[in-house]
Amino acid sequence: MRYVLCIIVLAMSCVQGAYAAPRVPTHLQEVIEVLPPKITTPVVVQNLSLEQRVLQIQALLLQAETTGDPRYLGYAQAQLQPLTHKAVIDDEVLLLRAKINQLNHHFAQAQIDIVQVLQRQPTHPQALLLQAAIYQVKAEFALARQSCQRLRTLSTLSLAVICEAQVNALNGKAAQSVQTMHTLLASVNSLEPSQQTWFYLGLGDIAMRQGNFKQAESYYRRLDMNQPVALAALADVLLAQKRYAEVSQYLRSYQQHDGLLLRFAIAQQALNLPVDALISTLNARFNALSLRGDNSHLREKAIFTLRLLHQPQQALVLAQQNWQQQREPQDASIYWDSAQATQAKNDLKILKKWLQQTQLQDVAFGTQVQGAI
Amino acid sequence: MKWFWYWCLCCLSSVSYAHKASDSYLNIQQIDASTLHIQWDIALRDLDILLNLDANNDRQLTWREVVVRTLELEQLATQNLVIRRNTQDCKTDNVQPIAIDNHVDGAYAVMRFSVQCEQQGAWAIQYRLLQNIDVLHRGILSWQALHQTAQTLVVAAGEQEVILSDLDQQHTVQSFWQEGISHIWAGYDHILFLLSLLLPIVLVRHQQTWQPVQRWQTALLDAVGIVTAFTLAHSLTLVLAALQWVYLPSRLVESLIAASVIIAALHNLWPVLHRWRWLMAFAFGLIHGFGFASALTDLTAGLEAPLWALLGFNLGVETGQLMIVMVFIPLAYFYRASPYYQRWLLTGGSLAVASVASLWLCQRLFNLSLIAG
Repeated sequence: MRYVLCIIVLAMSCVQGAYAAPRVPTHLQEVIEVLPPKITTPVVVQNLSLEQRVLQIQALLLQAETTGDPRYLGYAQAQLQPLTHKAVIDDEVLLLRAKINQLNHHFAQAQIDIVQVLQRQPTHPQALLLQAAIYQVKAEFALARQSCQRLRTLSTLSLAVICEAQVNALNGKAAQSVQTMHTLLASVNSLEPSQQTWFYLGLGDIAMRQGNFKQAESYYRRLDMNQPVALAALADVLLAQKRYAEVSQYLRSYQQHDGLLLRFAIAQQALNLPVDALISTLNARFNALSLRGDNSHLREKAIFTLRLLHQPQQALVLAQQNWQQQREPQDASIYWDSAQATQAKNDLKILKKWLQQTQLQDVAFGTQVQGAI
Repeated sequence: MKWFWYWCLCCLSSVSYAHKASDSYLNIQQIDASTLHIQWDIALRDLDILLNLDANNDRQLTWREVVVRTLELEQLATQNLVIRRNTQDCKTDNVQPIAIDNHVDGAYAVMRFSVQCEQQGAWAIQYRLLQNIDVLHRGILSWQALHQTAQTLVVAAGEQEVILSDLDQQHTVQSFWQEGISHIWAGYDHILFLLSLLLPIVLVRHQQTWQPVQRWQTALLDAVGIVTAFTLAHSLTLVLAALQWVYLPSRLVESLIAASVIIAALHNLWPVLHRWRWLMAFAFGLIHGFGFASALTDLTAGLEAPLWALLGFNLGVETGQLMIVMVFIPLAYFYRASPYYQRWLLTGGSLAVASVASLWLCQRLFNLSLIAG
C-alpha cells in the first residue's frame, strides 16, 4: 500500500511539474513581462492603398528577419492575405508571398510565385535573388548560378557577382570566390547596411569552410552584433576554435533565442559546467514547436539530440528528415556526424556521393570524408 | 529601389527563427453532462497587441496594467472562443480571477471559466483569437470529453467550426475497461461473493467431510463453470439495465447483493449444492449485473457512445475478475491439503465473510452507515 501511495504522489508531482500552477501576483507593481519594442506599423488590417500596404508588409518582414521573431512574419502574412484574393495578383504581392513562404521553409510554393513574376519580368532583381537563395538552400547549384547570372545588368552587377561567388563557393570554387569578393571589399562601405551583412556573412562563411577561422572571425566582427544571425555566425567560428569561454560570455544574455541557447549550451558542456537546466529548457522549446506542428527547426533539433542528449540514433532520424528539406553545408555536417556516430553505412554513402557531386569544400568536413573513403 | 537592399537579406543562409511563433493553450474539459471547464492561456505579448495593455508604454508590463483590464480580457475571451453543442452556443459562467503562468516563450494570462451547454449533441468550437492579425498563431487545444483521455488539436483562427469528437471508440472502451477493473476491485461485495463460491473448488465432499481434490483439472473445471455462469448472468443484466430495458431499485439490488454474499458464504458451512454451485453463481450473478449497471450509469451520464462504454466496462469487470481468480486458484490448489485451509480459510473465512455481508445487508436495508462497502 505504501508503494502505491508513493507512486501516486510521484505521478501527481510529475503532472504538477509539467503544468506549473497558474499564480496570482501579490504586488500590483510586479513586472510580469518585458514586452519587445512596440511595433510602429499597425497590425489590425485597415484600408490602405496597395503601395502603403506593401511598404507595411516589407517593414514587418524586415523586423522578422532582424529580430528572428516569427510573430512579425505572422503579422506580415495577415496583412498580405487580402491582397491575394483576386484573379491577377500583382508581382509585388507575389514576391512578398514567395518571400514569406521561403521564410516558412515552404520552398516549392515560393518557387511557383517567383516563376510567375519572372515570366512577366525576366530580369526582376528581387525575384532572381530570391530564386537563387532557394536553389542554394536546396543545393541546386547550377540553377542557382543561372539565376545569379541573369542579374548581370549594369545596376545590379555587384549583386550578381556576390550572388555567384556565394554559389561557387559551395560548388568547388571557394578560392576563386574569395578572390572575387575581396575585389569588392573596398566598395562594401558604400552598400546599404543589410547588403553589408549579407556580404560579410557570405565571405566569413567561405573563409570558415576553408579553415581560415581567424579571417572568418574578423569578417564577422564587422557585423552589428545585435542581430541574432551575426551572433550565431560568430559563435560558430569561436566554437570551431574551441574558444568556449568566449561563446559562453557572448551568448549568456541571448537565451531567449533557441539557436543561440543551443550554442550556449554546447559551450557550457565543453567547459564542464552544468547543462541540465539548459537541456530541459531546450527540450521544452522543441516540444512546444512540435506541438504546433512546426518542423522548421529540424537541423537544430538534430544537433541538440546528438551533441547534448548524446542520442545518435534519434539524431540521425532528425538529420535525415532535415536533409529532405534543406541541404546547406551545416545540414550535411550534422547528417554526417550522426551517420558516423551510428555507423550508418547507407547514409554515409549517400553523403559521400553528394559531396563528390557538389564538390563542397569544407575543412572539418572534407578531411572526415577523405578519412572515411 | 527604395526597398531593394532589404531583399538582399533573403540570400542569407536559411535562418531558423529565434523561437516558436504565437500559440495559445486552450484546455477544455467536460466535467459533467452539460458543463465544460476551460483554461485558456494567452501570451501577454499577444494581448498587448490586441488591447494595448502596456498603458504607460514603458514596455514593462506590470500586474496592475493587466488587472485593471480584467473586464476587457474576459470579453476578449468570450468573443474569440465560441463553443457549441448541438449547434447551440454554450453560456459562460463562473469566471475565475485572471492569473499568470509562464510558458517556454514568456508570461501568459490564464483565464479560467466554465460554460453551460446542451445535454446532448455534437461539440464544436469556433476559434478567432488573432484572426486576420497573426496568420501563424495557433491554438493548442487539449480536449477531454467525459471519461476519455485528452486529445490534442492544433487550430488556426477562422470562421469555420472545428468539430470536437467524443466518439473516440478506442478511448471510450479503454477508459471504461479501467473503470470496470477498478469497480470490481473497489466493490468488495463482488469479490467476496466470487471467492466464497471458489473456496471449495479444491475440495470434494466425501461422506459429510471435505477431501482435497486429486487432480487439478477437477478444481479448474469447477472454477471455470462458476466464473462462466457468473459472467454470463451479470453481463446479461448489465446490458439490459444499462440500456434501460429492465429496471430494479438500487436499494433492493444492493441489499440482494449483500444477501447473496451471505448465502454463498454460509453455503460453504452447510453445503447443499456442492457441485452445482454454478447455478447459484448464475442466479445471483443476475443481481450483481444490476449493481454493475448502476455504477456504469453514474459514469456515462452525458456520454455520446454508451454502447462502447458498456463494452469496455464489461470487459473491465471480466478482466478484474479473472485476475483475482488466476491468483486464487493456484494458491488454493497448493494449500488444499493443509488442515488450515479447511479449518481457517473455508470455515473461518466463510464465517467472517458472512458476518461482514450481514452488516452490509443491515446498512443497505435500513440505510445506515456502519462499515465501508
